[in-house]
Amino acid sequence: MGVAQLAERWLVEPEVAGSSPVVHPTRNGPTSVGPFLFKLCKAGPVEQTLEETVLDELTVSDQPWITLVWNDPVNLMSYVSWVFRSYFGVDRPEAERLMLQVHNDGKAVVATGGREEMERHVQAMHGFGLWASIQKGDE
Amino acid sequence: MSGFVRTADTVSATFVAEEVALLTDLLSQFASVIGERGARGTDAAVDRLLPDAYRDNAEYSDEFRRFTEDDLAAGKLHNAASVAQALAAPPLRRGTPVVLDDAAVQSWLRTLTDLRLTLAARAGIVSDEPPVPKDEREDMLIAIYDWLGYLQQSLIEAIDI
Repeated sequence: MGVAQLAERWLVEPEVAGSSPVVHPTRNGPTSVGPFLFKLCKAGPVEQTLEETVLDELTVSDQPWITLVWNDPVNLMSYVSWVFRSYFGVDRPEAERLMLQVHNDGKAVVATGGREEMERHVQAMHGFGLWASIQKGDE
Repeated sequence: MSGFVRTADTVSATFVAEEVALLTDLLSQFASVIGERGARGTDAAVDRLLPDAYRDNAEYSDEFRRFTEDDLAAGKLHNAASVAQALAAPPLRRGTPVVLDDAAVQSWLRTLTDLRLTLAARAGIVSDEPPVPKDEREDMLIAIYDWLGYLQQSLIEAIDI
């Protein structure tokens, strides 16, 4: 079969099976995520009272957050290790250790710190195509 | 097909016309997948390319998505366009040589990843076990997926000084 025949529209059409819509519960009113996302925002107001902001800041300053990278069957081990080296600036042994932890344990904590910083890391990891998430460090 | 190689200070690969055509088509389709994406939960590929940031808090995830998804998607489209542009150079008789600078290396590594993530979603690759194709279509998807993985591995080795 020629390459031209390979080039069908298989990327564009979502698979029907196994992709049922996720329906999130309805949420009422403006959300109060805090000042972290606000700083990432280029435009558009975040509706938030001063009281909410202060509460969020207090909560966050007391609480470390972590950036997790999750195992996936797609990304090459060499690529994951390269991402850790090039983005976090860790040396090769540390990058390999983290990569193997992701691979063997299913996930690894790759950074700990403030929420805003962890959100930046997660966004960067998603830019590399790694499967990353942020959560509170004590969970 | 020889993948990427390092010669002196440059990283390059040479593609035959069929490979250029296939990659170009993939990139075009990828741009459609991202550019015409629907809501979260309607396409497994998009959900993986633009994943939730908070696994345990839908409200935080939605907020994060609201503020970051457009930039993330734009970055992926930009990288894919850069790769397509590199492949659009006038083909020589013996193939299309692609020479990558540092920025292009980033675009290629990320785009090869995004294409493989999309192919994996379409082919139902969900575990670390070698994928077993159900039919001819999946067989083709997996063959392309493996080829892109080979390309990416060769590029990582080429830049890994």
